[in-house]
Amino acid sequence: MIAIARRLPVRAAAVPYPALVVVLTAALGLSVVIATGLGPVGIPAGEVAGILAHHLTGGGDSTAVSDLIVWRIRFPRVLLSAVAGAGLALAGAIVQGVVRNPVADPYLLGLSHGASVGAVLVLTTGTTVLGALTLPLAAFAGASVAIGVVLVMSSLQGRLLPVRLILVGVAFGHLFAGVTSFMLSRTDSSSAQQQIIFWLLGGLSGTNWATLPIPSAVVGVAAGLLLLRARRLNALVLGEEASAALGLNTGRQRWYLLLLVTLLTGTIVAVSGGIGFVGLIVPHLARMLVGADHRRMLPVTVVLGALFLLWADVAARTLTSPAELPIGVLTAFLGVPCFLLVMRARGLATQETP
Amino acid sequence: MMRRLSTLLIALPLALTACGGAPSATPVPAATGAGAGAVVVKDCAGQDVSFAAAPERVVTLDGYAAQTMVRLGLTAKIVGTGFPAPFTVDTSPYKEELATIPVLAERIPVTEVVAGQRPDLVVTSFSTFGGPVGSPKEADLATMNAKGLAGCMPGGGMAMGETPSTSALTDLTPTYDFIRKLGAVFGVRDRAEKLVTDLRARQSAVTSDGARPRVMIVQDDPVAGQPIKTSGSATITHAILTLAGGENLFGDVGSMHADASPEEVVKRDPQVIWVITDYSFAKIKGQELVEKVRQNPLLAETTAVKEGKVFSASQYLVAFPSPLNLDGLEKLAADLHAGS
Amino acid sequence: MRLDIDDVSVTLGGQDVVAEVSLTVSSGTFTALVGPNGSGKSTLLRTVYRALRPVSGTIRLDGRDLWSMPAAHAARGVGVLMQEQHAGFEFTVAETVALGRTAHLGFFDRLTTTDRAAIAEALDRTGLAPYAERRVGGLSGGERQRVLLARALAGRPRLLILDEPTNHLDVRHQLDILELVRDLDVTVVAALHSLDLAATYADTVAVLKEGRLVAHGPAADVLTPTTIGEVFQVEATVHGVGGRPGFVLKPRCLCPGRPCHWSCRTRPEALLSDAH
Repeated sequence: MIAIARRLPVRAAAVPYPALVVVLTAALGLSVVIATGLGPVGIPAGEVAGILAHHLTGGGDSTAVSDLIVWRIRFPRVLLSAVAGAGLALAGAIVQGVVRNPVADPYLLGLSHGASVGAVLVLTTGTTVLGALTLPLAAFAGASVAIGVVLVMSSLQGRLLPVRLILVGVAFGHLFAGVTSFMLSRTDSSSAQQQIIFWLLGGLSGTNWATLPIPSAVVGVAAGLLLLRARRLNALVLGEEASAALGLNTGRQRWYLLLLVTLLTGTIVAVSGGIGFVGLIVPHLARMLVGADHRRMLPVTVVLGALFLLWADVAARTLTSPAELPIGVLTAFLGVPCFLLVMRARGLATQETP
Repeated sequence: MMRRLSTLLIALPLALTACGGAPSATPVPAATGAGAGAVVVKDCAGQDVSFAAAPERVVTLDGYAAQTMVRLGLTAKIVGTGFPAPFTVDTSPYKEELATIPVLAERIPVTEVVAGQRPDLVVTSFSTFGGPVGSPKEADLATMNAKGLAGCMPGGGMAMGETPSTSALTDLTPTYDFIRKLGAVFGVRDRAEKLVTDLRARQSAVTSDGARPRVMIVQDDPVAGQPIKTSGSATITHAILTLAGGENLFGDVGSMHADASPEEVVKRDPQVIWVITDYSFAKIKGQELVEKVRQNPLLAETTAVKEGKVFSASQYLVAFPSPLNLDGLEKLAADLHAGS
Repeated sequence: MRLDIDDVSVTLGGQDVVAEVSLTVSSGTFTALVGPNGSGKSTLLRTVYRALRPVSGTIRLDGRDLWSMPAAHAARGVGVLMQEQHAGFEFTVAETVALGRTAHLGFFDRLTTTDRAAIAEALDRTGLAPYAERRVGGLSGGERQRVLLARALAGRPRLLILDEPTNHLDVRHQLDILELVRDLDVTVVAALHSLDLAATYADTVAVLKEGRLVAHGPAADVLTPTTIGEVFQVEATVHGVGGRPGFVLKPRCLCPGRPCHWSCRTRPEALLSDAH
């Protein structure tokens, strides 16, 4: 692996940027189709393609069992994995920029652990005040409360201090994780325990068409907003002093970005549980490929994140078929080698700097 | 910008599918709304589930549900089952009948595998859907146009351990309710009533008065430095123990897999140890596990071990709602009263 | 651009770092700020590019109150070359210089033709055009300082603020930077350590000591042996070189007739005042 890392270019300058984006997007499109063809129930590739083509050209639902599996169970799940992966990677890239720390991700700010606490509270108390929506809403509320507490604790006279943000985020993340573990150990029912583990490790089972619109809209809008104003992100990376000198209202910019990250992470965690590592790894891979400029690296981050989680979910569904693995296990298994590769390659890159 | 974000926030819940609790409790004959001949039962959350006709293609997620169906003469309706392990403890003629059911997965099958059978009803003896990773949730059942029935437990199987008084289970109502509910849905109420009557009769036959020995329920071989896994009061296991004339040593906790401290065990001193075998987390299965527990130094000082009163039952008999609960009850009662 | 600093005081951590400084920099002139470490040079400059807000006093750019403008507006006329920042090494030279246009960007962050022309001009002026696609992290210290100067120039500033622009640079690169800056038609305020460079390039020199302005005027008038001796605690000899003053400095010795040990060179209270 190290040998491969040595040969990895620090920046694949040989591949022109537009070509890279086209190739990655094509790969994503192709992956969606292939992933829809993979699963515990074997359905011939031709039939899968036929079903997708039928629906994408406006055809209605049929009663065939393969139609049910491909169009209503697998395809929405594949799409959600791509959307969630894109959103988490995007959130990771932004957090890394805002706190100017390469190992930051939404989880470092206590977001996902807060979401877990919200969800687990609902699971263990059996509250169903808001019916079926109780759980995702509680997860979202948990994430929002967590980041709220972290932001208040880490700002001084309205100014966010990045280092303090990380310290407070990590501290509260541990606190929230402790609360979750406590409730896990206190709960009576094994099914509640299994669901709590879902919130800790994440998972995309149970996805249907109705799950998709909100995460897709949030990820789409957030990606749009961020891409349109990506230059400002570059200035933010230089630090408070420099971005102030460049005329950027650093404080306001940070609050705005963290709000966006909370919305992204909260929405995604609410439908997919706490999927780790995507937000940490993928932005680094993107920087390796196209450099640090957010205008180039954000689109690549989005597509790579989608690809990464899509294939992680395929692995979760198929490796132990007909059983299923928690997707968090897969993102760690796939993510750690990637992370080491990136570290290795970036280590070589930084050797250039005295 | 902010307005757009908040609109999204408000819209979030609207787009997520509604999914009710799992079906349960006593069948309620259709009075209104569901059309002529429709059967309405309550799910575990108390919501109505309506059946216009008897289901034709049933997937049982676990063997317990299949065992119940088979005893109601509904074998032909089962198109596939998951978790067939409980079949191993079943008896003739049911064992042979169960063997004809296609097995979808050794554990709880994932959504896609269930959907592949195109079921119109999915049944589980567990109290909720979607517990194991990838297994169908209620939203998935809605997607595949199937109804769901679950073996409801008091408190939905979700209650925290602090309130055992409200969730303590002292009889086999969940088992009987589950049978009646299936009977109602499949239009075989008579068979269901007969089965329940038979089971109740067997239950009455074992109920005995007299001294109630303190019984410690053990689910795995205790390891030094770790809590001992036991069953609390909100479980079928507790109900069977109570009916058999025993006193659960840890009836003050509710959970199915509660932790008991070894010190507390010594202090409360069980007169009987009841080993529940075949739990998936126990490395050693069956009689081997019972032998291990008998020789376990952590339990050596208890009255139960000293007097050799270590009995056992498979989780396939005594852990989840199933007609075989009575087999477990009869055996435990016999064991408890053999020496007295 | 004319800069008016009027009675400005800055407190950091309860300490008065800049106290009641008033300084006017006329349009198109080069003003050097000199003074020992901790005399408040950098702090005073930071108030001018809005990284710090003074506790009292006003700063005006061409007569307009700096803090009454939006951040981007204030930054449009002001270019800043800060003391070296260890960030942004992953960007290319072109990307970094483009950041100089941040204050000019519209809502959608698109570069206009004007923006592109300004960036190209800044790269040209600093001789960095051939390096445009190189990563900043891979450049030498002198090249990196030129990149940061180019970033400041890309904003087409009318006031250029330089905080120790010659730090860590060899003699040639020091001169390169200052020559380049002097040839620009902008107002310059630069904190400089070298009295020689200050006397050579600046039209006026402002001397700071312990946060206070002690002298301001043409180098020949201000950088006298007395003032230098007073402010820096050294023995200074001034001699003319081509019409500009030049300096020979040596430690001031407080123990006449004895070898000049460390303990003889600085008074304890001077040490203390240097501490911040």
